[in-house]
This record gives sequence, structure tokens and C-alpha cells, in this order.
Amino acid sequence: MKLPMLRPEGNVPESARLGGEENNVPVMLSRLDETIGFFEKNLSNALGWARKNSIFQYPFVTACCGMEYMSAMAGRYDIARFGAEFPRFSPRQADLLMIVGTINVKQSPVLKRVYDQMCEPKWVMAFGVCASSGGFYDNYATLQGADRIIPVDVYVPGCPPRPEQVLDGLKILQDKIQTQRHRASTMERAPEMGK
Amino acid sequence: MSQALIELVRGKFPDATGSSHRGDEVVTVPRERVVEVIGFLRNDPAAEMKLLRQIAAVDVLTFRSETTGGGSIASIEAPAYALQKKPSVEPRYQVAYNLYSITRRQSLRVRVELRSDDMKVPTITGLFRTADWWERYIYDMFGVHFDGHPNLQRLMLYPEFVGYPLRKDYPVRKRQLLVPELDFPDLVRGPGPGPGGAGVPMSQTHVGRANVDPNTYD
Amino acid sequence: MTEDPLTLEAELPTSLMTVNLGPSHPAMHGTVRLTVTLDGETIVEAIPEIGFLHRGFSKSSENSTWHQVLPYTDRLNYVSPILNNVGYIMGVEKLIGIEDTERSQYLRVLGGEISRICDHLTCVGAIGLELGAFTVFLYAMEARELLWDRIAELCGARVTVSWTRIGGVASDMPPGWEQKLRDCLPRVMELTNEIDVLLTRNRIFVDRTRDIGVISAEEAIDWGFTGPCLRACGVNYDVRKAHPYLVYDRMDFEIPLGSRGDTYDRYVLRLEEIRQSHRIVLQCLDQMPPGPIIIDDWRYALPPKKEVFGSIEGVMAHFKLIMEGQQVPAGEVYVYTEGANGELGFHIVSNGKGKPYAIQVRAPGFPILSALPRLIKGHAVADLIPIFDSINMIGGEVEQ
Ligand code: SF4
Repeated sequence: MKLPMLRPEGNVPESARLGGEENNVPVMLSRLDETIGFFEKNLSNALGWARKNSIFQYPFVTACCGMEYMSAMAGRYDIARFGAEFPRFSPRQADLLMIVGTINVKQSPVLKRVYDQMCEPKWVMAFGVCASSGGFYDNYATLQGADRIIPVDVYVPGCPPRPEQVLDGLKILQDKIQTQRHRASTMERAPEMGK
Repeated sequence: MSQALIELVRGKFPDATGSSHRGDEVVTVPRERVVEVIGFLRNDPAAEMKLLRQIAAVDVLTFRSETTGGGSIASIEAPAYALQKKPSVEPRYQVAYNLYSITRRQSLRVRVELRSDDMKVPTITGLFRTADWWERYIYDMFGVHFDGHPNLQRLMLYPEFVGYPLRKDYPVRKRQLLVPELDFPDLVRGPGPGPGGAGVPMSQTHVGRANVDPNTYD
Repeated sequence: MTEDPLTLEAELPTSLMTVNLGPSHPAMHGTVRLTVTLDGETIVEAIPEIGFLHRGFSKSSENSTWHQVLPYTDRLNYVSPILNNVGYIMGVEKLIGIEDTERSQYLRVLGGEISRICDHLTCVGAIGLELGAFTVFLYAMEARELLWDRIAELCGARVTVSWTRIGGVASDMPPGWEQKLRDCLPRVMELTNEIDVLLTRNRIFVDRTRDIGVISAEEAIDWGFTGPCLRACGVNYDVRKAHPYLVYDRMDFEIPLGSRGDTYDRYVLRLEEIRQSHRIVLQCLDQMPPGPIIIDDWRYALPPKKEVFGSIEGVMAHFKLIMEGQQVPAGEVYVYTEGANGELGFHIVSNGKGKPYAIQVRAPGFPILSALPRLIKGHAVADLIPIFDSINMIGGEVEQ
């Protein structure tokens, strides 16, 4: 199978680009990029390709958006076509946390806990306006968007979003995963739980 | 439909007052009698009200003074002005028990009025099992104490929550967070109040994150 | 050590174990947290904790105009939003003392029954899914998609429709829609029948649901059950028959009744109700009279666009309605309709202004969920899942 080509614009940090806005082609790489060898870049792409096409999701289903999530899972829209087939109900086995529905204040420690339990690399999708911004629930009980407690990668608007929108969001997330830098291993220390 | 029901209750309990609005019959009873009255309605063969549909409560604090409705943001603040104008109404709370008889197809509402300095009602969990959660719900939202309830704790909200949200003097957007919010330096959260709002990145707001108490902004 | 064979049958000493299920757990669809105490496999005690989806329905509603509450009611029971819309708007109409037009009554019944079919399909599909019958889930979803397409054509949205208005409904049937609905209903019923064939006489399914979660009629009433869960115990109480509202008195349908009050009865009852709702939908289509879909009273209903742009009265009425809301006369009513899970009640208080003064909802699932510890006590952990599915707890309405 053919691996996707190296995409220069994805791997090059903003600071390394010369030539201003109109000519956004990287002509020189930064020190950092020089040190990344040819092999590592290809490895990163390969890993990105593999990761984006086998997304294991953890559906954190709370509310009405769950109905459209069910539709997106079922026969007609079939999210499995895009490599996100299997919901894993253990955060340890999941790559993608889908926040489907309203997050209220009582729920927020649970959500944070689930997010912390997931292993790196992990991505988060805010499914519906409630998870993105609180939606039209603006009162004492609700959190104004899941991004107030955990970082979010993709926002899917809609109340609830149609399944097509979800699939679109998934494709955008896949592009994002492809252009991120992936390493085979990391020397960083894992962050402590609950911090 | 069943003016007869009010007569029935008033025949047994002369201190109850009856009223009717758009076909809904209501009897208002003194607080001490509520268990007696509901027990009577449950067991009397002419009433047979075996189904407790709902317990609801109303805070009448701004019932008369509330200015106007409207779709604009300003209307959200309207109760606040009303509160300044007219601080107290007594008796301030009403608890309503909506009862129904499946066999006789008739319904009745039993209402109790409470003063805000003495918010205690005897529990009816001994009569209806379902009253358990309804009473907890009313306690959670209005702070009405149900004397003798086996497990009177918050139902929907969390123990850390201070205050009772459905009281009219509780601000709509007063949140009491359990998890501190993240601080993204350049997150723009679109128009609206709050840190990072109004299109200004959070790092550039003159308020500064440190000065904002997450519980008070709205 | 004796060689007595009886020692093999001696009781093993067990100790109680406490297990936490939820709030984010695949079996707890919705967001209930259950703390169960187990003796081996048997549930000794269960304490449900709710509120993980509490969104302040009442508080938000009290700060919006009468029509702005409609979207909040959609999201109470988000599987059958039209039934919620109808329930709420009938409360407002009762406060005002008006009735909607005849055609809109038929449309409300029609939309409501389609919603009811969707709700029951989702419930049955979820039971299947969680008992390992994934096919059933896919069939149910497919049938629901077909109906949702029709709802989207009728109301403009798939799930959260906000379709009713004070005195009528928002939109009429588009041209050709009736035929489309008539074309897709047989397919829906075919899928329903397939689910029936797959599950109802399936040995595994019957064994896992028969005599599980039994509750007697008296106890069910004591716990405040209504709807399919109560009728599964054999109590004939359905608001549509007991107090016919809208045009239900002109419809010919039956109320299926169970006898044992167990999980299996609740499942069969829901399938049967799908068939009855199908009958009602067809009768609605047959009897649908022509006419306006909303009353012509500009104090409550928005004037038609032609008047808004063409006459000063129209503009005034429109402006007043949008800026100040409908001035609903003061009063307090409790209005009840038959939701998909039981009696859906709204306790509405108005102080004569443009906003509801107080709204509290009697969610049918709320009392039923409070009885969950009673239902699952003494059963194995594995039985918890079908019981929980069959009461069809919807987080949005229970936790408001
Ligand atoms: S975005 Fe809309 S549909 Fe989704 S959970 Fe929020 S209110 Fe419900």
C-alpha cells in the first residue's frame, strides 16, 4: 500500500517559513527540523497514517446528541467506513474521546478523569454545541463547553449535528492527525494522574 | 369535573380552602394537615387517589413585581431589578401535590403554603413510595425541608453546591465549579461575557485570569 | 477432612462487595450512577444517583419567553421530541383557554405518533444491542432513520424539532409528503416485524427477560409508574384513552396490556404500541381535514409574513410577540399527556407576563427510575442491563 507523501507544510513550524504570507513555501528548515532525519519524518507519516485510520473511540455519551451518535454508528451513515469502527468503553484502550452531549458541573470531574486515564496519543472531539460551547444552556448547572476543562481538537457544531457533519469532523481530525508529528517513542515523563 | 372532591375534603377538613382554575381543582390546606389530607384522599373510597403524579413547588417572590418578559438578554436581568424593588413576600413558597385516581379518573391538587422563615413540611413518604425522590428534588431546588424523610439529600446537584437554584433570588448563571477551568492563553471564545469572551484572547483581557473568580462571572 | 459428600454443598462464606457502575458506563446509557452491593452475583442493594445531566430546564425556561421554552422541551425526551412539544404547548393553551385548529390537532397527533414509534424503536433496539443482538439495533436504527427523514421534511430538523406553536404547528405537510410517508411506513413495519421475529421467541432473549424485574400493579402505582411500564402490569391507564385530548377520541386504536409486569412484557408491549401508533398515523392521514394550521389570533400566533411586511397591524403584532412574548393570563395548571414512557406532565405557573413564571416537568421516567433499586433487587448483575433498558430511562427528561 502506498504511504501518503510527506507534507512539508504540516511538519514545518511557523517560525521556519520564509517569504511572508503570499509565498508560504518553506525554503529553509529550522535547526529542529534538520535534526529530524529523513527516516524519522517518514516514520512520523507512517505512524500518522496508521493512527488516523484506526481510531478507537470512547463515546462519552450524555445527552440528546447520543441519538445522532447512534445514527452515525448504524447502518446508513456507518462511521466504520472511516476507520473509527469500534467504540471502546475503556478509556485506556481509546484514542479519541468523543464528548457527545451536555457536560454539566456535576459531570465535569468525571470527564476530566476519563480524559486523564486515556493514554497518549489522544484526541478529543466535541460533538454538538453543548460540548463545544454550552449551547443554549447557559445557567447554573452547565459547563460552557468541554474545552473549559480539557483540550479539544475538533468541534462539530449542530444541535445535534447531522451524522454527515460528524463524519466531516472525523475527516478533519484525520487530517490533523496525519500532519502531526508522531514519534516511535518518547523520553518524556508521563504526566501525573489527576494533575 | 370534580368540584365534589373539594367538597369531600372540606367536609372532612373544614380549614381547607378550595379553588379551581381552568378545570384544575386545588385545595389549600394548612401545613400540619397535609399528611392527613393526602392520606384521606388516598384511602377514601370516593377519592381513591393512589397515584402521586408530581410534587411541584413555586417561589412567589417576584410573582407580582416581575417587570416583563422578552427574548433579549435584558430580560434575564429583569428578576434582579424586581428583587431590589420588592424584597419579601409571605408566605413565599407553595408546595403542590398533584394527585390522580386511576380508577375514578379524577385529579386534585393539594397545596401547602410556607413562610420563608419556617420551611418545613411533614413528609408523605409513608403514603407514597414515589414521594421519596420528589421530595428530595424539591429540597434540592428550593430548600424545603421534609420532616421525617428517610434520606433527605440533594438529588440533582452535588453536595458542594451552596444555595437553591430554583429560588427566584438565585442568579441564573451563578455556577459553582468542581473542576478549575483551563487557562489557554490564546483561546478566543466568541462573543459574550466571561474570560476569553467578546473576541478578545484571554491573555489580552485587562481583567486577567488571576482576578476572575470562576464562580461569579457569567 | 471428612469424606462426607455433603460438605461439598456447604455454604461458601461470601462477603459483600460494592461495585460502582457509571456515570459513564456502556450499560448505563444516559448518565446514571449506580452503586450496587453484590453478594456474589446477586444484587443486594442498589443506590442510583442522578443529576449528571441536570441542565437547569426549569431555571432556563423561567428566563425565556413562552415560545423560547419549546427548544428546551425538545431536549427533555430527545427520542420523541414532538410529544414533549405537544405536552408543553397544550399546557400554555390551557392557561390561555384556547384550542388550536382542527388540522393542527391532526398534525400534532400524526407527528406525535411518529415520534412514539421512534422512541419505542430506539428502546427495543437498545435492549437488543445490550443483550448482544446487534442486528436488532441496526434494523431499529434503519427504521428510525426512515421516519426521521420524514420528520425532517415535515419540521425541518431530524431530532430537535420545536414544531408546535401556541394555537397550531409551525409548518404544514409539504406537497407529496403524505405519499412519501405512506410509502415508507410499510418498510418500517416490515423492519419492526423482523425485530419481532428475531427477538420475541428467541430462547436466549426470553430466558434473559422473562420474570426478570417483576413488579405488581399496586406496587407500580405506589411507585408512580405510568405508561408502558404500568400497562405491562395490567393496569389500563393511558391518557390518550382515559382523558382523550386532541383528536384521540376519533382514532380507533387499542391499548395493549401485559400481565406479569416483567421485562419481557414491557418489551412486547412496546412492539405492540408501535403497531397501534402505526394505525393511528394511517387514520390521521385518512381523516386529515384541510384548513389553517394555526389560529388567526395575533395576540398569540405570529401573523403571516404577508401581513408583517404589508400592514402596520402585522408589524406591530409581530414586534410585540417577538419582543415581549405572548401575554399569557395568570394562573396555574397541571397538564398531562401521554408521552412515550408514560404520563408527561407540566406544572406551569404564569403571572400574566411574557415568560412562564414557573415550570416543572413530571418526567415519566423519573418515578420509574426511582424504583430501579426495587426492580433489580435480588437479581444477578447481568439482569440489571435488560431491566434498565426496558424502563427506557431518558437522561434528558429524568434529570431535566
Ligand atoms: S448540542 Fe443540542 S442535541 Fe446535543 S446535547 Fe446539546 S442540546 Fe442536546
